[in-house]
Amino acid sequence: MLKVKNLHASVDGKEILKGIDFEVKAGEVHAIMGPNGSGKSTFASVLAGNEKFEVTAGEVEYNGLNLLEMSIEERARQGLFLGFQYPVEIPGVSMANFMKLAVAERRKAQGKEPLSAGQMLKYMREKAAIVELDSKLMNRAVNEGFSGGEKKKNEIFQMAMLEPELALLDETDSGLDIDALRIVATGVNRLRSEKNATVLITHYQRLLDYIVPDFVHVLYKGRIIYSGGKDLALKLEKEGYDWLINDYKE
Amino acid sequence: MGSDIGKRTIVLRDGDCSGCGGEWVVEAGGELELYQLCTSGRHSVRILLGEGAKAKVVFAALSAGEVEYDYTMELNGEGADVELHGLIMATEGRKATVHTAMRHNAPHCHSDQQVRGVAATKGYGLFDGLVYVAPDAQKTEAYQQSRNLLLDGSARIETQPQLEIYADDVRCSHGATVGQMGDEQIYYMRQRGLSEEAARKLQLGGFVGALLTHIDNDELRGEFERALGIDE
Repeated sequence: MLKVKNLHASVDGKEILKGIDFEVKAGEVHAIMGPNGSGKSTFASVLAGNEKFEVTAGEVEYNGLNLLEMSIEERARQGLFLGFQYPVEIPGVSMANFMKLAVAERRKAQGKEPLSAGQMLKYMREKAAIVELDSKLMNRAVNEGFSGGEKKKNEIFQMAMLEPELALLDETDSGLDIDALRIVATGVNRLRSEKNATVLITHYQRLLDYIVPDFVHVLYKGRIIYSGGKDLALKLEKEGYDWLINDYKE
Repeated sequence: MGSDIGKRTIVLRDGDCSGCGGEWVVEAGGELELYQLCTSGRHSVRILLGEGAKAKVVFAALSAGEVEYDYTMELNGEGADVELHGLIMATEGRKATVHTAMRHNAPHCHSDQQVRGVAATKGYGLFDGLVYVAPDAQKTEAYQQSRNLLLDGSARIETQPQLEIYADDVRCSHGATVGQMGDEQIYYMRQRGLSEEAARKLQLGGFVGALLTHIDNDELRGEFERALGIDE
């Protein structure tokens, strides 16, 4: 589904990603861990097409397409979803209107018929229930006045609405209390299938107690320096990153 | 010119008011609603309020040509009340100006001004709003808020709130913000599949559309929607 080869990216002339190799197949869950400032969020942003970052070298293939040549919205319509670490507030734009447009674009790309107003309402209620998001929030402006937990649930709600093939969840667990974390994780698990894949970017092992990854990778100084199975996260939790970092030479 | 007791609605549009305006007197206990939607010329509106009289003003100043509105409200009777909701929209390369003077001449009056401004490429929007409170207009409540959105780096908006308060027992506040269409918000919407154009339109519609919530009449609201380009 996703093949990243030797990806380099910079912001304001400073190189952040220094040659990432990474592959995801349908049905898999990957976790990317690593100390602060190692490039985890940058990696997710570059895959989403954030124009703040400049890709200086490398290739990314997504379902046979050259991802780096696609616009932000084209990537999204083709089923690449980024759950934001800090979801922005959009005053004046209601959740319902926003989702109506977003779902219409996604369905068009999937070759599906648009939903009628009634179907859309029902679909929205169903998906909101997955993350226990109050459907009254649909009449409010996007993320405006949402609590921290509601904002993160709202990201997973939108993911459910858009049925992505590849979901990148950037620190979706940060700032959540244990109940909200459980709800968010349950939502993600319910959306897992043989046809889609999830990449979790996280600092903490605790998310991985709820969403069990197939692979765990350590990103450090812009490269993936170590990969393993789910036990790697437990070892990192107990021993930290020092044993890896000390062995690593740039 | 007019004088009335009871409720009255005035609509000022292009065509039936070239360089229009006028003066309206709202007598004690009366109510006036005034809606204005003009796209060029200079327009001057003066409303005089008696005891307990109420006025609601909803306007959109859209610069198809150069447009300038000038509102003066004289709150002459005790307990008069004015609410004013407006939108200044300076389209590409054009200028739109709105002056307001809210003159509290009697005690226990209340006024609230909520004015939004939008300026497109090389557009120029200007709002200057005066709140005047006379020495014996005690227990006045007067509020003014100016919120503005620049659609790009070449757009310009000036907002000049002025307070002249000569009474000491009053509650008054004013505030002004100018923001640019947010890149982060556009990015967020594009990440959900909206084109950049659709994202900008949605955001602008949201900012501008807030005005419509103050128009109860469906037909009139539709007319404003069409004029603002957010009917769909």
